Amino acid sequence: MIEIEGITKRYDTTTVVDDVSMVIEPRTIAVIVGTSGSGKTTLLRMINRLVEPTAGIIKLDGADNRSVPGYELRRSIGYAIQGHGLFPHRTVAQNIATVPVLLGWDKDRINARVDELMTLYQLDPQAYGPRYPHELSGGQQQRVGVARALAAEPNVLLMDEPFGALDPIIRTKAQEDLLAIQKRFGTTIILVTHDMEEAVHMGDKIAVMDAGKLVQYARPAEPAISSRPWSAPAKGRSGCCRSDGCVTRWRTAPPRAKPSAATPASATHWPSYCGRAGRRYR
Amino acid sequence: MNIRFDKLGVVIAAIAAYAAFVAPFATFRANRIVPGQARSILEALPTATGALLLVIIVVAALIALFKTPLVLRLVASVVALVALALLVGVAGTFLTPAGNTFARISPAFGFWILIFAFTLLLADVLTRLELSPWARVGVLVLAAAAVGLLLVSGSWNDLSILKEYFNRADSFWAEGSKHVTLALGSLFAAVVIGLPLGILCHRVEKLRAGVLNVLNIIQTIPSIALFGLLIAPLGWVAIHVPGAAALGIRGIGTAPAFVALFLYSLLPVVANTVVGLAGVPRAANDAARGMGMTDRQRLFGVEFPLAFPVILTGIRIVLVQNIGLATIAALIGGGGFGVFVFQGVGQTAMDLVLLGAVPTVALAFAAAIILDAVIEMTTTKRRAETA
Repeated sequence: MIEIEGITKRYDTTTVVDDVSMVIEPRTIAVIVGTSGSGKTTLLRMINRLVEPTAGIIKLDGADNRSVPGYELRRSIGYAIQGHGLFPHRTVAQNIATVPVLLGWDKDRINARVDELMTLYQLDPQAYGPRYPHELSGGQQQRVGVARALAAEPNVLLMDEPFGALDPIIRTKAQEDLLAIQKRFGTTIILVTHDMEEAVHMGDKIAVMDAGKLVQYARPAEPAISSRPWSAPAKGRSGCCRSDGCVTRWRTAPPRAKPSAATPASATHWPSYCGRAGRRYR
Repeated sequence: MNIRFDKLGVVIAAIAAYAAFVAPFATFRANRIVPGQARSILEALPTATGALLLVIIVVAALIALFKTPLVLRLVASVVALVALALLVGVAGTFLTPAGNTFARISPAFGFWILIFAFTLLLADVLTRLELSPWARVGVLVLAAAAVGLLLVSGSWNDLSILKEYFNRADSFWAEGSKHVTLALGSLFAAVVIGLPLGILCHRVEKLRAGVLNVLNIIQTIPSIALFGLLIAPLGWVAIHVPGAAALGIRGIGTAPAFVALFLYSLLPVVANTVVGLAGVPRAANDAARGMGMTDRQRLFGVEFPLAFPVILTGIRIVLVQNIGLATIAALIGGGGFGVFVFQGVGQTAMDLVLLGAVPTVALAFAAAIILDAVIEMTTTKRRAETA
C-alpha cells in the first residue's frame, strides 16, 4: 500500500505539486493522468525520491520512504520511463540485470531471473541477451525496459509514460502484456500518462491532476470519472478521448474551461471537445 | 564509350604530372649549406631507371584519373610509393660523385609532391575500402616496417638527411625519447588533472564557464610567450621550494616546457569531458538514478563509458598537438626533435631541419591513426545510441 499524505513540491515560487493526498491499494494499477505540466511526473518521482518533496509524507507499506537512503529505496522500486532509457553500452541481458547486480545477487540467480523475464517477454534469451539495445525494434526495447524494471521482483513499479514512444498497435500489445504480468506478480503499479484511453483501459483507479492539484481520484466506472466535469487539457496539447469505442483525437485545443456559475458543469464535460459529437464515457 | 573521371583522381593526376615533369626530383649540393641545384627525374637517375619511374608515375596517375576498380588503385598507389622510396635512394647514390663525402643529395620539391599525391590516392582507397580499425593499424605497422626496412638496408644512406643522422645518431635517439616523454608525460598529467576537473565542471554548473574560459585564454597565449611567462614562477619555485631544483625544476629547460604543454593540453581534455558527459542520453541517466545507482556508480557505470569516445577524441587532439608543440621546447633548452630543427635553421642546413621535422610528423601521424582506431573501436558497439 502506498499512502501519499499532503505531498507538495515547490521550485522557488512555483508550486508543481500542491498538497496531494491519495492511497494506492496493493496489487492494483493506479493511473495518473494530466496534461504536461500538471505535476504528474513530479508526483511519481517523489515516490522513489528522485525528487524530494517540499512537504508531506509518502509511506510504502506503512514505512516512511525517507527511512532508507534514496538509492536503496529506488533499488526496491521498479522504474520504467518513456523512451525506455536502456543503457546503450550494455547488452540486453546486462541491462535487465542492472538492479540485481546492484543488490549483489549471485550470478546464477541473476542469469535465471534474466532468462525468466526475457522468456516472459517473448525475447529468446539466447538470441537477444547478447545484443545491444540499438539492435532491437522500438517495441522490443520497451519490453526490455519494463523487464529491467521488474528484474529485482519489486512490489511497486513506477512507470512514466512507458508506452509513449510506441505506435498504436504495439502499444496495445504492450498494455496487454503489462496487465497480464501485473496479474501474475501482483505488482502495485503507478503509471503516468496523458492518454485518457490508456488510463481507462489500464487503471483500477484513475487520478486526474491539473496544475499540481489532484482533481479526481476514482475508479474508471465510477460516475466521478465517467460523467463529472473534467478539466480541459492545457492549450495547444492534443489528447484523445473515446466515445463508444471510437477514438477521436482533438484537432485543436479546446478552450480551457472550469465549471463555474457561468459555465455549468454539464456544459464543460470533456467528451464535448471531441472532433465528433462526443458521447459520454461509458 | 563513356569515360568517367574520378574527381579526386583529376587532382592527383594533375599534381603528379606537374611534379614529375616540371618540379625538381632531387637537389644536388656541393656541401651541406650551399644552395642546391635542381635535378629532374631523368637527370637524377640512370636513364633506364628514370624512364621506368616516369612510366610508373604516368600509369599510376592515369589509373587515378579514371574511375577504376579499388584494388587497381590500391596497387597503383603502393607501387608508385615503393618505386619513389626506392629510387630516391638510387638517385642519392647516382648523383654523389665517387669518394666525395661533402656532397649532399636531398629529395626535392617534386619528390615530396609525388609522395603527397600517391599517399592521397592510397588514403582515399583505404577510406573507400572501409577498413576495420585493426586493419588500419595493420596498414600503419606495415608502412612503418617498410620504412624501417629501407633505413636498415642502407638504400637511403646516400641521402642528405641520413648523412645528418649519422653525424648525430646518439643525440637523435636521446632527443627523440625526450620528445616522446615530454609529449606523453604532459598528456598524462593533463588527463590525470583534466578528467576530474571536467567531471567537476559537468556536475557543478557554476564552475563550468569560469574554468573553460580560463583554459581558453591559456590556449590563446603563444607558446613562446608562455615559456617566457613561466620562467619567473618556476625559477622562484626552484630557489624557494626545497627539493624542487633536485627534481629538475628550473626557469628554463624541461620543466617550463612540460608545464606549458600540460597547460595547452588541459582545454581539450576538460572541454571534451564536459561535452561527452553532457551528451549522455538523458533517459539513460534518469533510468540509472531511478534504478538506484549511487552517483559514483552512475558516473563509472553509465556516464563515463558513454562519454568515453568523446573524451578519447580530446586526448587524440592533445597527443597530436603535443607531439607538434614539443618541438618548440628546444627553444628554452627542453630538448626534443626541435633541437635539430633550430640547429638546422641556425646553420641554414635544411637537411638538419628535416631530421627534426620528419620524425615529428611521422610520430603525430601514427598517433592520430592509432587513436582514431581506438576511438572507433569504442564507438562501434553502440553506433545507434542516439537514434
